[in-house]
Amino acid sequence: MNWITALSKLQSKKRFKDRYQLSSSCQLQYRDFDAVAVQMYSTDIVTYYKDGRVRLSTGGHWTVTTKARINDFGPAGWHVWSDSRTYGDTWVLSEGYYAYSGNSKLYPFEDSVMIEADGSCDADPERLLEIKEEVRLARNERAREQSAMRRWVVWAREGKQPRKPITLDMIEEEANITVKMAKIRLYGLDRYLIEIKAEVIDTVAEYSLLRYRATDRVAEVWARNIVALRMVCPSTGMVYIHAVPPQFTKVVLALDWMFQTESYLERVQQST
Amino acid sequence: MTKLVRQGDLLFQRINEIDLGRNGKSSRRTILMRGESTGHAHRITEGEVVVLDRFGWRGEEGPPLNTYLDVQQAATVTHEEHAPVTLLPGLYEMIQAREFDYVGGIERRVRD
Repeated sequence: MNWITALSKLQSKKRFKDRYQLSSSCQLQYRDFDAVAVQMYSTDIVTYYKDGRVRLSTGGHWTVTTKARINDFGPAGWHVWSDSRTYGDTWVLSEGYYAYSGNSKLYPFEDSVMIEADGSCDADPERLLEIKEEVRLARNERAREQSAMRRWVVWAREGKQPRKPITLDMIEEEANITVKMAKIRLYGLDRYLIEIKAEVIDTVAEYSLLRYRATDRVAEVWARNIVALRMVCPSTGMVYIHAVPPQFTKVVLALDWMFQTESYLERVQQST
Repeated sequence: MTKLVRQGDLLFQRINEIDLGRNGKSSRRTILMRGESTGHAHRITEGEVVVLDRFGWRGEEGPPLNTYLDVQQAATVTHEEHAPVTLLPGLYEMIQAREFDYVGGIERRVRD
């Protein structure tokens, strides 16, 4: 479509009053003295000017339907597309339909981008190369993080110790909650809970329930409770700490879960 | 109310009857459970005990699903890290303590 085609539609017999229905959501309307706009719902997505300029806009609605309508009713020879793997969330405006032909000029699609009558665009093509590089680096960084995460989880499951012994500082500095849990397992949950002085939430006789709130600094929220049952052996005085599911807040319930029985404390006769 | 006797991570619960199902095996072994990491074992040092294991579909190739004790004469169970416990004659179910694995998000048996 161009200015002349748009104007001819608006002046044709199929118009209704001063508008022409292009599709269920889009219609052509006059704007000012020398402009005709394709209005999608309440947004002018394409505006044709008499001097040959074309303005493309989303009005803040960065949706696939908006993109499709811009391509349907936009200027001939221009195409809007996206490639999240290469350009992330940025849409690309290309002169020419086949973006990968090598001859197409590529521009970052910004809201209210203007295509001049001579075929140039007011968007900066260099910015697109910068965006491409940023997306590539972010993807590589994410892949490295996921690889490290997988490595730690496998070590924790298999009980393999890393070459550098794990320290308390290494665990505290860890930003990712999954890797933090794996490091705690390798360090020793009982040793870790004692050294960080976990909160005691319930105590009955020689049993106490400890809780530690593990935070995820990547998500910036506390992500997981670690709850463990601390038992002191009455005969030897040795302390044993075993993890229980995080929903427990009472020693009695944790003991019943641990030994798969009911009313453990009431029924136990001998305990060593 | 049935009484419980605990030694470390092993709980002995008095029961009235035993159901071994289709895959059951009885023995007079003295080692009830061996620790995976320390190698310490819960051993029967005195008394007469018949150990009954109930296996799953894999039979004896897999670990027993349940273990029961038929204590015919008062028995003493010892362990290197815990004080000995005495089991009076009767039928017992042997339950191993479980703990929660925060890495895998599942429960598992306590590793002694």
